[in-house]
Amino acid sequence: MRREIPLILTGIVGITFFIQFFVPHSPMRELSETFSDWYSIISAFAIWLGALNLMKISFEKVYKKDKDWFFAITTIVTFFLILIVGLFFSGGRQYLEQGSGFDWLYRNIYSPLSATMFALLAFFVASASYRAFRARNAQATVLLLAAFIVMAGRTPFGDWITIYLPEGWRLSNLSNIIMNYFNVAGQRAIMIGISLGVVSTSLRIILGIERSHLGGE
Amino acid sequence: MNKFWERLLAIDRRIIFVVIFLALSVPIFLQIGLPIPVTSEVQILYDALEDLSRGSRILVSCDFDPGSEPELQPMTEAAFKYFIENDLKFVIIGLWPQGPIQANRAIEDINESEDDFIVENGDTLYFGEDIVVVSGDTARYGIDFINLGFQVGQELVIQRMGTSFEATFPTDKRFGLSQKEFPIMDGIYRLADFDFVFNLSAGYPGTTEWVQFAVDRFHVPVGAGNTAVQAPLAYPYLDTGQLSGILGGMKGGAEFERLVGHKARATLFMTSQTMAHIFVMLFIVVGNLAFFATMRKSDKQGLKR
Amino acid sequence: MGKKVALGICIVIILPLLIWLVHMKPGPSSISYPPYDLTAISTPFDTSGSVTLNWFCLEGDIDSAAVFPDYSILRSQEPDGPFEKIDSVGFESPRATDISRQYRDTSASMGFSYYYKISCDLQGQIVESNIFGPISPVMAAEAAGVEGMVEATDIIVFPPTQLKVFDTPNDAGGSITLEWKVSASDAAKSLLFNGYDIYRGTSAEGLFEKVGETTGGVSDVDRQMKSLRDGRDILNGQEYYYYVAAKWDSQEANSEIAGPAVSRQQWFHTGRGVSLVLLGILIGSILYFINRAKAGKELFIRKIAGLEAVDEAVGRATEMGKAIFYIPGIQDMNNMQTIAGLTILGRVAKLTAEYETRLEVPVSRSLVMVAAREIVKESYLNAGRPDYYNDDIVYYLTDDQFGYAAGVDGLVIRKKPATIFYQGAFFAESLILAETGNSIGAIQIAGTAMPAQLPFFVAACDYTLIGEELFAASAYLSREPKLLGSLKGQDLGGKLIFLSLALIFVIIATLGAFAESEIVDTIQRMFNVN
Repeated sequence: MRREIPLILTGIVGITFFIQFFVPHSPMRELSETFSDWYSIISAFAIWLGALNLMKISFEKVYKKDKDWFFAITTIVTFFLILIVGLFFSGGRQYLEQGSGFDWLYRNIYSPLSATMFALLAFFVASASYRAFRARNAQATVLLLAAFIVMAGRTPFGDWITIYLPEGWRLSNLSNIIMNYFNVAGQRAIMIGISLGVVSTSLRIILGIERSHLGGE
Repeated sequence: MNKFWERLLAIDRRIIFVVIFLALSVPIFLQIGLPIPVTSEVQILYDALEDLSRGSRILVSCDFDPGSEPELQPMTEAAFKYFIENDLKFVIIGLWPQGPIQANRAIEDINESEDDFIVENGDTLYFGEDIVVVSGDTARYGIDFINLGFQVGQELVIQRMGTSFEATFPTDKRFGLSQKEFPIMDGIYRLADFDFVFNLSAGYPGTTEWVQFAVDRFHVPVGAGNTAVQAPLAYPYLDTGQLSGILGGMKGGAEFERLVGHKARATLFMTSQTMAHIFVMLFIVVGNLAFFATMRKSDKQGLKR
Repeated sequence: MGKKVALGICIVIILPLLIWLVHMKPGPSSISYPPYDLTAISTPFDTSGSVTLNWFCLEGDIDSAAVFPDYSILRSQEPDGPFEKIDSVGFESPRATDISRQYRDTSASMGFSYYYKISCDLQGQIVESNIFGPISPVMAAEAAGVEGMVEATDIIVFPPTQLKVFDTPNDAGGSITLEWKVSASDAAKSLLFNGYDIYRGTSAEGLFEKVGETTGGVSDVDRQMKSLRDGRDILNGQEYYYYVAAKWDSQEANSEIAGPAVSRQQWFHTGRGVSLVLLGILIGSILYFINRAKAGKELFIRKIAGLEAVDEAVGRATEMGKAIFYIPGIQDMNNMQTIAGLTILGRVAKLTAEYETRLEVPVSRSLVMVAAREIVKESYLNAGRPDYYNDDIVYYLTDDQFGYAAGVDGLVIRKKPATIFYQGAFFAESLILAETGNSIGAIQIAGTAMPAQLPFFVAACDYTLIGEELFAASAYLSREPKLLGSLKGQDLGGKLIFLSLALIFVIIATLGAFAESEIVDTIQRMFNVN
């Protein structure tokens, strides 16, 4: 029954959502909203599973003095710091107000760290481009040219170096053509393929043909 | 000479990082502004906002986190300034937990009043939270704007807003009061009661979900601000008319700043972005030159053997 | 051969016809008479009785224009004329709004009906308006019971017209839709126009109460209509009557009363008929080929390099004595890519159990952690190595996108795995992860259906599963006939039929665009998911 019950539940909920999309009459809408609420509640409570697991592993590393246990200490300290400050030292419901402890941590630690990680992309794009963009064959050369046109055209630099060309032929115009036509065509093709794949996989899961996500074959 | 090309090909990536760092940071200190031509997708969004009547209500969905702040925060601020100057009311929500917090920061940052607070009818109203002053126009919390906070559920939240907005966002973020107590929410029962949705998105849930639910099901016009990586995914929807304009990345933000008449961070940072693009293109050229030079050498050696 | 001909006829003729038949037709557009769209009402609150005309300015009649010809006001007592000029409105006269002008005919006599039209001589070309009428001036004391004089320069608000009320289609009841042509005084960004109030009653003669309000402007630009759904305390089966009041400064102008409208629940969403047809084709095709596969028919699937390399990648890690990292994306179990990624995890886990290679699966969601543990445990059991499994193989880091990326990067730099799998949904962190893995020399196999991240993975990884190849992995690795059958159904029913239909409609739309017909809009509407 360990696998049969999840399969039955998946089938019932999946078919309910499918029918509700075409049948607005009650109780279909109410059922689908109820299922959606259940999912929201389950996924919100499930955060505790992850948090407890993270603490368990971190404490074990510290206790056993595993290699790099210093990072586990950092995890534990920051986890409890934000939890305690947010719950007890931030004015309760008004924890998001300017000047609260939580707000200070958000602005001065979380926000800069998050932005820093995203900013790494700029550096990694440069190093990946240097390493991977090679005109090895005709297709790679076309890709390279398109990349140059779009990179130059998406900044004022592109118009500056092609200012002598007539309107409509400058790099920004060519860049727009690539983005609005070639890019759109490629994106649509990939999106169509992905959507078909999603429908097919969803159907297999709803009908119980696909079971590997429950464990085993 | 060949050794030079081989060393260039195997260059330590940290040298690349340093060059990019300098390319990005030096222009910020030099404060050079560049002319920004406006593209059609940004113009479409601006025109859609211009067509709204005075007093129209706009739902602003802030679906991004601090990681995307450099790209999306400037366009958020430019949009809020435009709304206040043109008497367009805006209701802030978020499908990402950090989104409404970022919106609060935008409100704070656009406030031009130098005072901290005023006392009115016994109530203390804080500038940058309860009152915002932009170009002489004043906007008040609960009357001209409101923040209803984050709701869990991703695209299901949009679906639920289509049937009952109050059930989806029952209280405001600042005071925890029922949203019905605020004048700005009068007459808003469901998503379709809004005149426009402005979505600022860094990923999932984001613009795609707003198009699938808000536009296709509930026929609400949606305009989007996306990070540069996400923007290409939104172009197919612009092409079909499902999206009323896109602000793509920092460039889109800079163009929008130009249209609304408030050149700010996005315009300033475009110089850094331009320099970074130039250097990346240079790296690619150098890399290919090194590649072909070493390839030719290998071919020659092959022939000798 | 016969089957192929039948399929061809189906695709080219029957399916397009079926789609055209089931698609939701739009409602009627508002009736307008450009460029003037002349309307007239008996001036409210005017005890002398007069008629006020309203029309939209012609192109070129703007404040910044140096000069513009006068508008001639023409009046007749018969619809066919003869019309005589009674007055003219000059360019310098104040406008009603940025885009419209008004004129007060105080010479109209009570008890008579009149017809009006506007005319303007634009550089030798006479541009005339529609004829509006019949309209009679009514004394205010008679009309509204309010005494007072209305100055000739006072702007009068015009009521909304063509109000229609009906049951909101395709819903579960409890809602009535109102549509009306916006008031002639409704100009964008007008400082004086204050939107509309909605009034409702249960009989045309009874009491009406205000049930809602909305701002000015059209909601349906194509049909030039304003619409609103009233869902406030609507009872199914009850008759309702409505009128809409346009608000201007301190004035209000009411539309005619419309009704009755009765709210009902619908059993089928008529706006999704096309979706049902297309889904039906796809699902039917998938089920058909699943059945054929079960019957033993051999099905071909092309080589997917990324999946062929899984064994080699696991073997490499075993030889080097290093770990394998498996990253199942940063989305939750409700995302199909995560489920597809976990399917491949099962296969990888089985290999690591057989080769006794260390496996680590840092995850970003708690539910994914639970599911991944079950999958890995089951795989180790199937490989006959249940002793080798422990719960710490799969562990949670954080839900936060960049926190997760930072955590994984740190683990990769410190533990230096020989092989890294990225299989699932990724966002901006994809390149951060892939470049870090590349910097330590790991063999990397990626798979995602996020189009924006594919270029990053292709540039930084050794193998990449692109889009639907990720969803095909389950069928590819297991070679189970039912799964292979679904792939074939997806390709044939999905790609072949849908793309053929797309091609047919593209040809029709292209021809229609050259002929400047409305077919392009019709086709766009046909495929809207309402």
